[in-house]
Amino acid sequence: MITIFWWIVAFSQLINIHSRSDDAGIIFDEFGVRFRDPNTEYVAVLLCWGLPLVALLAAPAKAISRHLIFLTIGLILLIAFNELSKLSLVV
Amino acid sequence: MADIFISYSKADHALALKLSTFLEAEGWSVWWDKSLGAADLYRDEIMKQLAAARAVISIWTSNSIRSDWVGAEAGRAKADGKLIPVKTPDVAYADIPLPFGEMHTENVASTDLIRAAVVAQLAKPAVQPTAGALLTKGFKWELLTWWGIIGGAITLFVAISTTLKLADWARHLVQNWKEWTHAFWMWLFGWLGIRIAPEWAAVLTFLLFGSLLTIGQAFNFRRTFKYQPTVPYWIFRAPAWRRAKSKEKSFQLISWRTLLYLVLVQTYRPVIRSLSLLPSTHLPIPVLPWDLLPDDLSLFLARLLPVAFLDLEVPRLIFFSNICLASSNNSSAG
Repeated sequence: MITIFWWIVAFSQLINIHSRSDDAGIIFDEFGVRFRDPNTEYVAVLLCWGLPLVALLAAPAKAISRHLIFLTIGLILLIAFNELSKLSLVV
Repeated sequence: MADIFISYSKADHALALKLSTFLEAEGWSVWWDKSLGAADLYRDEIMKQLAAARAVISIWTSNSIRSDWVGAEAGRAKADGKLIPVKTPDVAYADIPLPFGEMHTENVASTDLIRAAVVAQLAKPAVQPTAGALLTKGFKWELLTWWGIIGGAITLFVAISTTLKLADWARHLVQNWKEWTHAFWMWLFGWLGIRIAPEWAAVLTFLLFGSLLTIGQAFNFRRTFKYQPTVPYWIFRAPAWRRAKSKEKSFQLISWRTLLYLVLVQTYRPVIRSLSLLPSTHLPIPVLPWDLLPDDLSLFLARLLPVAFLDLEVPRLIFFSNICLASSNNSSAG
């Protein structure tokens, strides 16, 4: 779950960071995703593995995963409220 | 200070040594008077350790039932509610001095029962908490965790907001959240003279709230389950010799070496490829866990299993062989 969340943030934000050179990332080329800066892509890949590692070394997986589920529920609630409020329901 | 204090007669030194070895291998710290001199010479240290220990195991043997010191230590421990009496098979309940003879007493060879008694004793709170302390127990760590959950959820919502058609309130939330977090990171890194791009602000915010969640749970877990192994013994429990080395790490889910190996095996491929050391761009390189192809998965397991075996099984085999050896030595000596 940490990995999924990380990629949501990384793909939505880090992918847009420009490179000083004309190079682009190559790791995700075959998945149809191209980072504009190869160094940023490299950091994103390392953190993809680093974040779960740090979390598991610091705290037990069961407690972390249980609270990540709450985080997911919070995200789903925000999305749901956003969709519901567009219906302009009058209570 | 040690978790467990062993009270015994000097004539039963070997028995105390065996019991302390077993308890230390289980991950507890044990104090017992290893000196062979008279106990009077170490009175202060003994009294200090006896008062500090959270469990006291009193070994009743044909020697110790006549020892004034063992009786006195057991009496003090019983008064403090932390006595775990054990006896050798040749000692009958009637032989044990009163009032200890009326207590349920385990056989010294019943290590499973002794372990259970110690776990139960150590699970008791050392000091009776006040009503206020009970109400606020762990509250600050839970608060930290929930800050992490709420902040993380909003950060993720902001991250995916470009793919959603936002309602008015959501647009305000997203806009303000972006501005606030960027302003915060700009201010923070401004001290170092570093200018933060808005893209990095979202990433740093996610890392910050993820850290709050993790730190909150880490401290909460340490506070609650310091002495209790809570993970399945078979795979994810650290080897006995390592737990004996440091009881603080008894909650560790997977050994450092295995975890490091997992990460290295899975990280080196993108690293090699990003450095353009491999000419082909069509190698099956797993970047994400779900990109593991069946071939890669089997290769991955083939590499992992020997390390897992060496890391987890061998120390355990050595540990149990030592126990068996000690038991057989004891039997042959008896």
